[in-house]
Order: sequence, then C-alpha cells, then structure tokens
Amino acid sequence: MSTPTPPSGSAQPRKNSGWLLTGAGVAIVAAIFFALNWFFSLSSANLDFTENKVHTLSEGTTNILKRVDTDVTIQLFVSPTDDLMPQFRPIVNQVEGWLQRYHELQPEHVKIQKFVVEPASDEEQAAQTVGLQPQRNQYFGIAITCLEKTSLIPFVPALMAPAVDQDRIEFGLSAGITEVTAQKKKVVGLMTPLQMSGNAMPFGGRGQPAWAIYEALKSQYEVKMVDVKVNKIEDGLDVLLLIHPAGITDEAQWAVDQYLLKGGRVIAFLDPYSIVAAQSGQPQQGMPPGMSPGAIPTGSNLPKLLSAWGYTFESDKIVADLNYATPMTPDFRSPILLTLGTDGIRKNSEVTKEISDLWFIFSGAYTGSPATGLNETILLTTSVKNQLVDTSYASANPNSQQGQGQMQNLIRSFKPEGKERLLALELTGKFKTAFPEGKPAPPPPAPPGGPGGGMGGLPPGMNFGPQGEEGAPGTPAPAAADVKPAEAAPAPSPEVKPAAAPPAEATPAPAAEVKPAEAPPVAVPAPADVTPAEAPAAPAPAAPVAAETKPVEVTTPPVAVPDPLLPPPAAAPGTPAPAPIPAAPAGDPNQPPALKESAKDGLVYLVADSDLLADMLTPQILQNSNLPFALNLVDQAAGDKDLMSIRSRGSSRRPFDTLNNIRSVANEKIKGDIEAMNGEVEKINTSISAQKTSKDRNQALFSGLKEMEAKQREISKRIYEKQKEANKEVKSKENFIQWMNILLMPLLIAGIGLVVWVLRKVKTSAR
Amino acid sequence: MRHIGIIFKRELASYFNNPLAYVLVIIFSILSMGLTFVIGKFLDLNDASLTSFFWFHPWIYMIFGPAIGMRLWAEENRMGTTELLLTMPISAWQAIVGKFLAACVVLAAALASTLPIVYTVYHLGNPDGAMIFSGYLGSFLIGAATIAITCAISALTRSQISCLLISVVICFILVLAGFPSVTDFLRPTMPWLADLGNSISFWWHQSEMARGLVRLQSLVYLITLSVFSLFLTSVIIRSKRA
Repeated sequence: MSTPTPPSGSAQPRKNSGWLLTGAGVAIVAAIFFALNWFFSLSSANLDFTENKVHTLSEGTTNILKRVDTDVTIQLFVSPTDDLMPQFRPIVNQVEGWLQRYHELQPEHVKIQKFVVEPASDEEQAAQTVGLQPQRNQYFGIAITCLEKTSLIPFVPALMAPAVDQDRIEFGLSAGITEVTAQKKKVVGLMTPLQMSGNAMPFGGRGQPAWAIYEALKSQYEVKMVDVKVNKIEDGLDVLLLIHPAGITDEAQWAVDQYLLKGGRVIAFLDPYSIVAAQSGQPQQGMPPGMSPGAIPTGSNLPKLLSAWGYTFESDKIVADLNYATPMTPDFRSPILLTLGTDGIRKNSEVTKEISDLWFIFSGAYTGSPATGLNETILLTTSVKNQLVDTSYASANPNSQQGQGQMQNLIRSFKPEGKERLLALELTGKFKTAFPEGKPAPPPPAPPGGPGGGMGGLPPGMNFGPQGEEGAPGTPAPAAADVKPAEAAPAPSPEVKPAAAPPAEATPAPAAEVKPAEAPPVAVPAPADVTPAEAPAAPAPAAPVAAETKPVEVTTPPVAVPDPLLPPPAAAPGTPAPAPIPAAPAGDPNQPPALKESAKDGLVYLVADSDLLADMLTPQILQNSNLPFALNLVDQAAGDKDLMSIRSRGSSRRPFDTLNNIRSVANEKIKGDIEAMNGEVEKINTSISAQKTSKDRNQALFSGLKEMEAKQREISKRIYEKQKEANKEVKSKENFIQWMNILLMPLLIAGIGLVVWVLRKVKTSAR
Repeated sequence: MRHIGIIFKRELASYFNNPLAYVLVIIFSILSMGLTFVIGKFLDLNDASLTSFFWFHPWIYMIFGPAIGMRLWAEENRMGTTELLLTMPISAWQAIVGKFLAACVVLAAALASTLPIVYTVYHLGNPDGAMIFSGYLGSFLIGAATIAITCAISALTRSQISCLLISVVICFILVLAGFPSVTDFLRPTMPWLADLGNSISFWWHQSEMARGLVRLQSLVYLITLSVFSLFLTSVIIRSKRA
C-alpha cells in the first residue's frame, strides 16, 4: 500500500492526475455496474430450467391477471419456519416464488402480503379474521381478497398432496383470483327427464324433495333446465350436464354436438339401468287412484355422439365386478353394486384427487378409445375381474334369498374380462361433429296418448312403466317373486300401467322389509335405524347386520315424473323448477351453419351411472364421495378456460420413490402380523371390558383380568417391535445413504492427496 | 492468453502442491453434505431435488470463497513478489485473470466433490436434471463472485487473515441482505430496501436458481460483480505499482 516518495516536485501533478484518472475510471465502471444491475433488476426475463416449466406462469394465469382491474390482495399466512413440518418448508419458498411472479405480472393490482404467524400474535388474529385456522398446529394458508369477496386456500400443502402428480399452487391461486373477481354466477344447463328439482304432489300428496346434487348446483351456479328434445342449446351455458338423458332425440344429440363444437363442456351420466327411472312409472304416495306419473326408459345412451368420440356404451348391460362387489350381508357381496376404493379411482385428475370411495349402482361401462384429435384421461375403472351382464340382474332383489342365489350363480359362472373397464373418463381436444351429414330430421310427432307420447323423448316402442314392462328393451321379464300385494297401492290407471308386479323379489331384508309395490325394483339394504320415509331401500356397504337392529318397513317414495295426462306439478316450496329452454323450431333459416369441427378445445366427462347421484335412494350417497365427485366434475368443467389450461401442467414435486417403496414393502410384510395382533388386542379388550363390568360380582375373575391385561401389553409391545423391525430396513438404508454422501468424497480426496504427497516425496527423494 | 495460461498453471500448482486445496475441498464437501443431511434433514423432505442442498451454499461460500481467495494477492504482497510478477512481460489484468481462474478450478473441484448427492437423488427418485444444473450454475457463479471480492481485498492487504475477515464480513452482508428474516422485517416499512436486499443478496439469487429459475438479473449481477471486483483488483495493483 505504501507508495514511493516522488523524486522531484514535478512528478506530483502527474501522480495526482493519475489518481484522478484512476478514481474517475473506477467511478465510471462502478456507475456502469450499478446501471446495468438496476436495469436488469427491472426485467422479469428469466430462463425456466425446470422440465415442466413450473416457474413460468401459464398462459391461463397470464390471461386471468390481464383481466384483473381491481386491487386483489393475496395474503400468505405461514407459521415460523421452525414450527413447520420439515417437508412443508420447501413449499414456503415455492409459494413465495409464485406470489412474486403474480405480482410481477400485474404489479398494479396484485398486492402480496406475508404474515409470519406466531402463536397469540396480531398475525394470528389477522389469520383468524380472514377465516384461516391452524391445521396440524401450523398456519400455512392463503387469503385472496378483492373488494368484499375473499377466497381461501386453507392449507397450501394440501394442494400438493404427494399422491397427485400435479403442482396445484398456481391453479389454487388463479382459481381464487378468478373467484373473487368474477362478476356473476356461471350457468349450468341440466338435461334430464328425471325430476331432480323435486316437486309437490297435487291433491295434498307428499312432494318429493329436490336431489341433493341439484340443490348443491343451484347454490353455486345458475341452473337452467334443457329439454331432452331440444334442437338447439341456448348460448351462454357454461356447462351442459346430462343426467340419464333417456329418450334423447337425434336432434337433441345434434344440439349437444354443436354446443360442444363451440367449445362447450359436456358432462354425461349415462346409465344402462336407472333405478330412479325404473321407479318413475310407479304411483306415488298421496296420488289419487288412477293417477300415476309417466315412465322413463331405464337405459340411456348417446349413441351418435359416443360413436363420433370413439366409444360405445351398451345401455342394456350392467357391469359386475368381483373385486369391487359391495357387501350386503356378512356373507354376501353384490358384484353389480360397485364400491370403488382407491384402486378403481385414478388420482391423476383434479376431480378424483380427493375422492376416496364411490358407489355405483348398476353401472354400465364405456368401451373404446378416443377419436383422432381427442385426449382421454381415465378417471374411474372397474377391476380386471369384471364382466358385462344383462340388466335383468339389476331387477333381482339382492336382499332376497332368490336374488342372492341369482348373484351366486352369476359369481359361479363369472368370466372375468381380464382388463379394466371404463367407468368414468375425460375427453379433451378438438371434437369432430357426430353429424357430418348435417342436422337430423325432427322425429315425427307422436300420436296423442300413444306409446311414447307420455314422456318427452320416449322412443317408439318404449312403453310406460318401469322395467319389466312389455316393450321396454333390455328389461327383464318379470321373475317369479314372492310378492305380497301392496295394500296401499293405488289402482292402475287405464293409460298407465303401474308396477303392479315388478320383478323385484321383495323378501324381507336382514334390516329391512320391502313391500313390492312401494319398493324400487331392486331393494337395496338401508341402515336399519332410519325411518321408512327417510330410508329408501339402499345398500349400506359393509354394514353389519347388527343384532340390535329391528326390521324396518322401508317405503321408497317414488321419483315423481310429470305425467302428460296430469297438469304440470307445482314446484315444491323452495325448489322452483327452472323453466326448460324451449326447443327452437327445426329448420330455422336464420340458424348459423352447422359446425363440423370444434374451433377450440372442448371437454367431455363421461360417467357410466346416474343413480350414483340419487341421494333419495340411500343416505349413503350423501356420506361417501359420490356427490363431491359429481360436483368436482361440474366445477372443473365450469372452470374458467384459462384455469383449465393451468390444471394440466406438470408437477414440481418429485418424491423419493425408492425409499417410499421400501417403506411400503416393509409395511406390507408386517401388515398381516399387525392385523392379527390387533385382532388379538381387540379380543382381549372386549374380554377385559366384559370382565370389568362383572368384577364386583365375581372377584375370582380379577386375577384373570390382570393376566389378560399383561397379555395385551405384551402384544402391544410385539406390535411395536414389528413396526420397529419394518422401519429398520428403511433406517439402515437412510443411514447408509447419509454417511456415504458425507464421508465418501472427503475420504477419496484425502486418499488422492495422500497419494500425490507420497509420489512427490518419492520423486523429491529420488533427486 | 498464453500468459494467462502460465499464471493459471502456476497458481493451480501452488494450490495442489500443498494440502490447502485438498483441505478446503474436504471441508466444503463435509460442510455442504453434513448440513444438508443432518441439519436440513434431506431424506425426511421426500423431495428428489437439491433445493435444500443449495440452500446452504451461500452460507458456506461466505467463508469458503475468502478461504480460497485470501492468498491470491496477500501472499504476493507479503512476499513482495507482486512487483516482481508485474515486471514480467505480462499485464496486471492477465495475472489477475490467471489467478482467479485457478481459484475457480478449486471451487469447481469442491463442487464436484458433492456429485454423490446427484447420484443419490437419481437413485431415490426422478429428479429434474436441468433444475440441478441451474442450481450448480448458481452455486458456481456465487462462489466465483466471493472469490473475486476476496481477490480485491487480497490485493489491498499483506495479511491473509485480515483479508479473510474483511471478505467474510462483506460476503456475510451480501448473503444476509436477501434473507427472508431481513427482507420480511424491512418490507412493511421500506419495501425498496427489501427489494434492493434481494437484488444484491447471494442467498436470494441462489435460492431462485436452485429452484430452476435462472433470472437474467441474477446472471448479470453475479457476472458483473465478479468482473467489477477483478477490475478493482486491477486498479489496486496498478496503483500500487505506480
């Protein structure tokens, strides 16, 4: 640092000017350095190195943010890092990264706030004010607020469930922003001949409540009814929901086709055998004698549309599955009532991600593969042990001995397909028209009072009444049934044949006695502790026949369907039926030309059952995931087009599969032992409980009780040891990995260093 | 270029002909792996990425960079060989670049010693290779920047310890400036300062690159910071020669 003393005075100015020049040079370079960095700090240009471009906001989000013209505040509430579970800690940075990018894209209107929530702090108060609660003792939620609307992501890690191969943080944020900035409700068109909106019976009859799915839809969307004979779908529908569209005309299929080609979203719940439809011909409680609702065909199909999409649906065959058979009694499982657990539910979609158990009642199955230009995502499947069987099996009462005998025969002669069948799937992409020849001609008007004239869209040849009626295709002939005449059954009307002798074998079920005239053709077990009015016959999967249950007489309120011979029923209070969209006159010259191919991507969800939505059949439907699944479909379909594009992006989560597999295998190995030991513990617990109550009466048992408690402790210890043993392999692998990583290279480098040193030493000494 | 090569080889040999480089590489390897597995509980995260591994790098470089770079010029100053070196037919700039590159090779060797963790994540899961590359890129650039800063401080002093201490303080500030605790504290009252903290912070740039997001801002900052530091080194050496 010391500078030499200048030899003469004349050198001083030169030195000073040199320093000046150097100082100026440093200042200029420093200025360039700061200017460059300031300039590039304003730029959000970046390279996204990730395989799935997870740091690049999708086009959908960009579009959503472009539309934001009001201040949106995104508040992240998160516990201090040390309080978070280790696996959640990396997600905090990830979320902050996303929020930063949202702000960068719309700095004017998107404001980001982060609150580190300590217990009993102002931040915790703020979190609770917006509606966030701690989950697993941790705060990690997001509140998105715009004006008075707030959307919550209660627990961000839940968006990244390890079972799902999708990073849904962006989707969650964009969906929240869309929700709080949305101006009005989306519109769902509902095409169904079923009376889902409920009704009130004339003449003081007891009305039918609206379906739970209908009420749920109404609370979230504007619901518009669409007739099954419609020839044009009204513009402005965000989603078209077809639920058992029995009797749909070709014209209506064409209308659906055109709606889809315009970029519409269609959800179809088809059914080879709809119990609700089967009930539709039965007279209803409170209805005067001679009056009966019209019947709806039990099978529904969209043959033209499905064919164009590459699929078929056999509307006279139901699927039986030995693996997913629903337990009806401790000794009997019905293979045609399917209980789908995690095996049949593909977790690769937003709609099935959280779905854990579904219940399909006489479901059909789709066959085929997507047509060119379409992408298929399978949502639900049968197991490989499935077989398509005739719908006549659906009419056998699974609670009756005869019905069970019929099922046992089916099981004995079962010919498994060997491959899974499709119960629900998603189709996306560019759809081609199913009507290349143009709009089909309207069907000839049915003669008044003639066959098919009763219900809208009844095809020729289809007759009134539930299954088993003459002329109803795919329905079985009435079986010999041990049927008691229904005392309350009204006399048949001259025009409409009631289900006087349905093929249901209405023998008393273990927990329910079914009267044929009032019961659905298939009486399924209902929980015994519900009142008859509330508990239509329905299966209670795995419900044991408890000793304390009393036989319950189950009366199934039939689903009311408007009869053409009756005046239109008044809507039930509180559930007004929306006015159907009127059918446009055919051949309207003002109509735009028919589309041949979709201009933008369309979306179709196909589900092979409709009774899974019929909550009036059994309260079970409200308890399992059936309704959440259906609502997920609608939510997904009604979602913003931009949101949909966000959903399909890849995951940034990459779990340690190898370790997870070792853990699973280890747990699987001890599963049987643990279950057996848990069983022993359970037995001992039961014995102990029993003895404890009688201890006062019999002191002699005391010593036995102590012995059993000791045994219980011993088994618990054995279980613990087993679990410890199972974890041992994983722990030993983890330890090996850890210490190999920490020590391998240092030892190697030290070894190399030693060799080099020795070689140098040898070389030096040689000299 | 030939002159740079000569200086580079000479400097590299001086690193590896004594235990210094080996010791530094071993310490870096043990620290980075130990912190990742023991403190960061890498295996419990169940995440086949190296984000948590790179999280510790800026903190390690805070000491590791100065430890590599402290001898570059301080040793020459102490021995009085700086003037001798610059009397040779090479420019100060060539000497600086040659020395800097040699130090960067030690840094690269240290990073290479962590490659078993890359094998580990590939063995345990299905990691994103490009994301790992961007993490290593960020790590190398930050390491190089700490060496360049140390190089400038080293040119100022004869004492390696003084150089080490001053460089560690500067690097500590540059790491901490964007640390969430600091920026979260500043943001409500001085958001501009929080943003500035992020912009100059090694920690922030590394965390972004470790997640596979290479911002142009990060590349420009880390490269220009190194170049500016080397320029300052050049100015200091020239001024001394003058």
